[in-house]
Amino acid sequence: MRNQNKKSIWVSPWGFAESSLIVTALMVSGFLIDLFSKNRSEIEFPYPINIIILTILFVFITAIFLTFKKSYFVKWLQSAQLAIVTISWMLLLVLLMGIFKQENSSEISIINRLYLSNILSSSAFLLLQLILLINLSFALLNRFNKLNFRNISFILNHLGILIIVIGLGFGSGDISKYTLKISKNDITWKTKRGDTEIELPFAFKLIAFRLENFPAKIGIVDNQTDEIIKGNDKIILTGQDSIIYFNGKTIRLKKYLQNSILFGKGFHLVNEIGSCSAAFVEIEDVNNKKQTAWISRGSHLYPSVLFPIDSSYTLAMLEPEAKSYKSDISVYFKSGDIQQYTIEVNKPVHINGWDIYQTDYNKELGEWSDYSVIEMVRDPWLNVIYFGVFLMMAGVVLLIFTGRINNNELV
Amino acid sequence: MNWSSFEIFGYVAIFLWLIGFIINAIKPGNKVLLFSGLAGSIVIGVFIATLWNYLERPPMRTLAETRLWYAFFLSLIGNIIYFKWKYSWFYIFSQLLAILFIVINILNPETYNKSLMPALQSIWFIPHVVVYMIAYAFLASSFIISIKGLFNKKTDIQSIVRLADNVVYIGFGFLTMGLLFGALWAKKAWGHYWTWDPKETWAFISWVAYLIYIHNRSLYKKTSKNQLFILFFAFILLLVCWFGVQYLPSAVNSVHNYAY
Repeated sequence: MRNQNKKSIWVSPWGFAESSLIVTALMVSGFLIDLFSKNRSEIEFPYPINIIILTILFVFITAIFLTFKKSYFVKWLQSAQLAIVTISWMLLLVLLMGIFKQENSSEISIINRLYLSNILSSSAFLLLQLILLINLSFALLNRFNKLNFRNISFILNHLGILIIVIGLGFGSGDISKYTLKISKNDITWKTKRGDTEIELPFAFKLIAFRLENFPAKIGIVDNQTDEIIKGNDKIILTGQDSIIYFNGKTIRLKKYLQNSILFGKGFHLVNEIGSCSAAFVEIEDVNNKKQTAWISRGSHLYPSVLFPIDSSYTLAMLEPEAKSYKSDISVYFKSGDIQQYTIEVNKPVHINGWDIYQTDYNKELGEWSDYSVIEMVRDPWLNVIYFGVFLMMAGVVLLIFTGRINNNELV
Repeated sequence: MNWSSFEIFGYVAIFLWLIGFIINAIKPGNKVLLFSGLAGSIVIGVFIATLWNYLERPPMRTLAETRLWYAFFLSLIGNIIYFKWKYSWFYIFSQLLAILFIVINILNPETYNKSLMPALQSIWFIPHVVVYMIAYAFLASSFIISIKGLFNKKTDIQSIVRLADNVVYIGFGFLTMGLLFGALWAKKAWGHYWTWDPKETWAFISWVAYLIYIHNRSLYKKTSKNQLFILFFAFILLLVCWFGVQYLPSAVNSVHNYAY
């Protein structure tokens, strides 16, 4: 910074001071625009507007670069000083986003007027993306202009980022995403967006929803706070024959049933709607006096069964955690074809350009859920983003291996 | 081997690292301390392996589990840097930090939890977390280096910044990989590669902070204390991302809540 300060401000070549002033002025005007404009609608550019804007932008940038590449102004547009100021502002705006809760709120407050609760849609953030795009494009054009081996890591990383910025900024308007609740009784072929009904490219019907739980854990509840005692793995029972020692008592898990109902004095294995997990436990006190009891989590049909250890603590079964859940679905195509697929968390299926995801189910009914919530997403720009990601990965591997280690003789 | 036997492993590792400190005090620069240093890392490594076997899933889900990996990688990096450049102060700081994380785990054993929720059952889980832990360990090293440069007036700023560069470039490379792996995984698990979930937002914040350092270094070849300040604050942001996000008002609906 020191050698920059030798020249007066606004005298070419521009450096850190000018970059800071210009970008800051743009950011402040962005916030002022938002503060004084009423009900600005979200800015989105769906196809083909995005392609047209993008083409014009790049023809324009390339033309300026080729015509004026020796000028101080173009040198400033591609400078690392501008990059540092831009990403510092990026840090600041995203920090605001990391601190303020981001939500779509119609409440009129200074925070909402300044878009602090919706930074991504603020004019300042949009302007910043544009500056980033211009800065990156000029920097890359400059490196392409004098291509050599040392530039490869730079080009891979910066081109990767530029492609991702473009994909995110210009591609978002082309993403279609529908969340659907499908059931065994109906064929789902349309959905609603706001007040308008949209016909889906294909229809869905649920064949079966399958859920598997981990064995439920058994913990000790403090009667005063109604909360499970935590912080130590020695007071949770899980699995056959596990033991915990608590307040002079030894508690042993004798038997665990995943699906059962209370019948007579004990729980019995069954496989029907509303069956619940239950455990048979043995409690032994300091005088070796033994007691046994059934405890159960209960379900939407049956109440839970607890066991009081003493006057202040109760043994209880915790909510079972899902191990996996999946849906077998039929997909009805407009051609008349019907095909079956299984969708699972982390294992979406790809059908005609759409990705179909398992997202949710009726939590109250658990494995007996009567519907499955799926999401269908189409993102025509996905491969653009992937291309950018892979360029960056290659660039980063080069960075790890060549970073500073090789050309640093000092240490 | 579950968490209840961790105390023994933890104390043995700490003991081995402390022996390294004593060797260093008696005979500075002696390479013998590498044996005790490495042995300590191996003890933690063995515990991780047996815990993995016992849990029947990668031990990478909870904060206590990530602290294990962190202590492992950090102590390993301490040994490597000592081996390469004989910086005993770096060995001591990195091992002290590893000891701190082990002590935290001894004092706060976590609720024993064997279950791995469906969203985490993915081939991306291990690469994503391991790459991140390696990055965090390297960047913690740069934090130690920055403290040495900022608070010890006798330090030669030029050589300390250059030393920092060595670890920052590697750490940043891994950090970027972790971020990109996370994005690819998110597309498979949640349908979109980037949703600005609070954890993602803070991962981006810490990534950008190191990006500023790297651009600053490439622009101003002359080293300065300001550059060490960037490293210092960047690591604070990284710690918020790792431990602090859950306490922020913005994180109420975070999809990363299972990690706490």
